[in-house]
Amino acid sequence: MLPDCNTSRDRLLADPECASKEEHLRECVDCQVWWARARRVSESITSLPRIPVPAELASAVEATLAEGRSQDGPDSLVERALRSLPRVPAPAILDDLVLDPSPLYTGTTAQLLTGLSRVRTPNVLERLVQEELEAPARHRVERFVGDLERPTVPAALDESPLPQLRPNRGLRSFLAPVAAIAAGLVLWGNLGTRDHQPESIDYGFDVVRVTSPEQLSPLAQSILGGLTTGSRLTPSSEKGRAQ
Amino acid sequence: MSPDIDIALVEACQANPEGGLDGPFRELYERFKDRVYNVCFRITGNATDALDASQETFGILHRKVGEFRFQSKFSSWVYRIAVNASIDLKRRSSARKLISLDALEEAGGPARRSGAELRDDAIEMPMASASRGELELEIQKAISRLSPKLRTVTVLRYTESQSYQEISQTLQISLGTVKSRLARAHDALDRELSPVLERHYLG
Repeated sequence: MLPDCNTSRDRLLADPECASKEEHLRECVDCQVWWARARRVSESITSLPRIPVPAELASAVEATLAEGRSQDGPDSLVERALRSLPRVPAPAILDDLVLDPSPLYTGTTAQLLTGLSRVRTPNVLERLVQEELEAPARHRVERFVGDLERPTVPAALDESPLPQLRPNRGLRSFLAPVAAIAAGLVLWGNLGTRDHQPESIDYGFDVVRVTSPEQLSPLAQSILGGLTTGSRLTPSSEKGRAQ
Repeated sequence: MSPDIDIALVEACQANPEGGLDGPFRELYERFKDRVYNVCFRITGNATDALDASQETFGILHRKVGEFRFQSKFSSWVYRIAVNASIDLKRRSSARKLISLDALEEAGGPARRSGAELRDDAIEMPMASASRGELELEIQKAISRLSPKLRTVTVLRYTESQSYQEISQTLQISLGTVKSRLARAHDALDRELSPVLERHYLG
């Protein structure tokens, strides 16, 4: 189909009378075939007979007008549906919003939102962020574990699967007070001996500060000689001397 | 059709809004009943729906005539109401038919349904013109198979002989849209009707 074909066909459909003057139509065989078919289609529809208006239309319209609205009409359906909606009472806050002169109610939403006080960042946030940056995986695990729901103890736990391992109720009722008395005695004993402890502990030897090996006892000097095997002893060395 | 007469009638109806078919609205009804009913018939495709759509059109016309401000041709306004009423009714009717078709198929197959539709669509005519009647039925079926938009343009153009400009005013669409819709309608109708027309005229 040539570019002219569309233009020519549009013209022919808009004004069939111009066909005789349409130059393109005389030259283009495709358009001649198309026009013959198009004309046949349009003529077949145009030739459809006018349908006589049924006599009952007048009475139907009259009935509709008498009702004051069209039956089953989309407009009337909508209007009826809207009219049937219940009235919504005005909320009490409307009075406050309209009548209360306080700035809270007089500003626009944007102004109200802008006027809201800033919430201070909690101090702990910085530390939490720092920790998160240092070890994100660990903190993620901690958060995840912390959020885990704590399971409740199932009732079936009381009915232990190994009841023979648990002391029976009679033995438990006997052992519990005995153990309490024993613990009390141990505590009392400890407290009692603590009152008689000496102020200083006697280790069975004295600590003497010397400035030279000659000040030691001969026994200590020989032991020292064996340990040092000829090394020079400095005067600042501290040696204990057993008494 | 004289626009001046339409204007005078509309003004008379506006002056007497409570009047029924006895008042000036009767004249309006008489002037437009053929156009309204035929548009409704060609768009809905059957007499029952055409009657309902026409009734609805005049009901709306009566209620809204007081709001008409003469900014467009009154006939375009009437056609628009008729087209919309027909398409709405056809849509509602199609939904109902889908339900009833299911019920009929359950009861005994679709053959009975098509028979009922043919009876509904049929136009009474002498036996001698049975062939012509069949062709008209085929043409109407082809129109009915078009989408509502293409169907509307086709009906206004060929059964109501409206110009592109009038169609554009009636449907409140651009001239380009009218052109393209009519071209598409022609293509579709050509596919549907060419075999029928060849059979009718040649065979």
